[in-house]
Amino acid sequence: MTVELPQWDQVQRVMPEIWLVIAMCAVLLVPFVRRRSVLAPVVVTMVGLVLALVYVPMGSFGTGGTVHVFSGMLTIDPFSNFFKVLLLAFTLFVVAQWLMTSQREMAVYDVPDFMCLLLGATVGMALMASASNLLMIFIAIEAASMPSFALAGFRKHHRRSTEGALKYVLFGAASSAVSVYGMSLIYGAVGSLDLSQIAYQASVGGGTPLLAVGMLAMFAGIAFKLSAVPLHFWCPDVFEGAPIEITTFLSVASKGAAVCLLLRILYAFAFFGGEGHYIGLATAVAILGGVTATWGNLVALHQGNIKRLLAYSSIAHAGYMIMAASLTAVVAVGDSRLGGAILFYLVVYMFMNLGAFTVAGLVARQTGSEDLRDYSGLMGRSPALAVLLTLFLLSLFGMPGLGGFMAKIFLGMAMFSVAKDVAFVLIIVLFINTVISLYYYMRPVYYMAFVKDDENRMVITPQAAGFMLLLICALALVWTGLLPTQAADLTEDYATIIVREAPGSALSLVEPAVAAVPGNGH
Amino acid sequence: MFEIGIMHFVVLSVVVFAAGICTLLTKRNAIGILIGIELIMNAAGINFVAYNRYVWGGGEAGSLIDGQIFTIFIIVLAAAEAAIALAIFLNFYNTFSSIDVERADEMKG
Repeated sequence: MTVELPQWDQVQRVMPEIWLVIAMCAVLLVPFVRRRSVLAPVVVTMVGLVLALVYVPMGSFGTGGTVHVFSGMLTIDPFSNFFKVLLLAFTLFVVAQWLMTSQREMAVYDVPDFMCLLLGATVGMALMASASNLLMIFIAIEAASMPSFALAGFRKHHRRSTEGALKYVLFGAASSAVSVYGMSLIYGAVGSLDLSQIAYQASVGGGTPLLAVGMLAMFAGIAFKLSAVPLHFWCPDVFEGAPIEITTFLSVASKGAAVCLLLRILYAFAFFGGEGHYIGLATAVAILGGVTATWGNLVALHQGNIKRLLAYSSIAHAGYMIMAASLTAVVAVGDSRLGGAILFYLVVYMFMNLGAFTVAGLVARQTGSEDLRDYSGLMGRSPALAVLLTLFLLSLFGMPGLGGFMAKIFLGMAMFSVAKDVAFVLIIVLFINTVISLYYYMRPVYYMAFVKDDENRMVITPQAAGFMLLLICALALVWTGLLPTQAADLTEDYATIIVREAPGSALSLVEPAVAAVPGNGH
Repeated sequence: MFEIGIMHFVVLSVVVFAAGICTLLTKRNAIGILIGIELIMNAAGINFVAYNRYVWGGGEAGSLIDGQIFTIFIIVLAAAEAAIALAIFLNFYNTFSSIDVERADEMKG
């Protein structure tokens, strides 16, 4: 049911985003008070993030979980709330990771700018998860992208960082331009920017070619954020060049937000089209996901840089999630199993990547190298770190007993329960990819355990806080791997995506316009 | 009598879009590519305004302005994107002494 709220109540629903924007402004003002402090902007950022986190439940307070605010621009539903909690908690972890890894490399006067950009990207991603209007989707993608471009190039005189940022901004701007052109075609075909309105019209009018071309072009923008295969070229270069915490942030938050957006769009179509109606759309997206996963895994096989290796691994994982998300286009209304499995996957993926990148960051901080060869003999020098990295890599592969395994199992089960015949192919693709990925996930382990380091290299000794962060990730993975039911139930409870109903009433606003086209008779 | 209608604007928009894509694919200069991107965005803007005026505006005295609002946002965000992009190009120029995108080839694989 659609709940329309008075103006002020609507504003209260987006309090998390508002807190983030307030924190963005506040963090830029911090240097006027504390000029030479690193801690002050970090504290302001963290307070902003925590306040936003606390206010997320307020978004759906007292309305049975769902509201459509600002004339349907945003949909605040359990699904978007869950993703926002995940995103904000993850951003807090990223700030903590930054403090432990590359904070020392950064000039003190750069810290507020850095935090402001990080918060800005977070706002964009939070909006992406609940955007349900083309205008809002465009603004959210841009709001998430632009700070990310700047963050990727944050190390100003670092050649690879600069190069990565150049590629990122050119690819990003080009794909978002094509995407907005697609939106203009959709508007031309349907006459509305509202997602549910578009999906309704498509199911009633049986998708015109104009609408189809528009949708295809619009997906370019989302595919870019997902680093799906034709548009993935930026991903490894940006990940290699960017500071490690930005790599972590982009690998999880940016892709997660894009998966949420994809789910919302596909579900809107399924909602009006009915179960199994959009099998063609689902197949197209599934092929995209399968190609992305396979390509990511194959290219990852010969990577010698840990960040690059994890970048290709993240392309592969995005591929798995796209494969599962594709079937959302054919689910029955109210079926939240796929959404639940994808949210569970995101939770697990967040901890795996956070852990693996943090280890890489801690090693790079002391050895200054991200090369796999410099991991040789790490098992002897710093056994704790090496064991933890092995655990994260095994979980990324999908070792039984760890979160990554359960995440893949749930993904497969949810796909199978939705569409047996299509899912069968997808599950085989998922399985083959998992087998391929074992090789490259084990390469760092091989170097750490079996290759002797010829010269006597440094012992990596992270501070206690670093170990705490890694232990949290490891525990989360073991917990989701051994006792997955609790987390799985939680994610499925929150996986309900709500599509705005009542297209009829909004339709009456749009319909008379066609008849009144001036010069129609000429 | 000859009257300008929706088709004229759609053709114009397609031409601008095609010009943008060609610029995007042929230019080696980063600013040239940025110009191509701006052309595509403006093509989208033309589409939005034209469809709003001729088809989905609610008639002669139409009050639906979704498309026009969208165009304003396109203009604003294109400007913001140009600002970010030029800052990154400047930084690239400071590091590589060139804004030829073919120079950005240190990372491969």
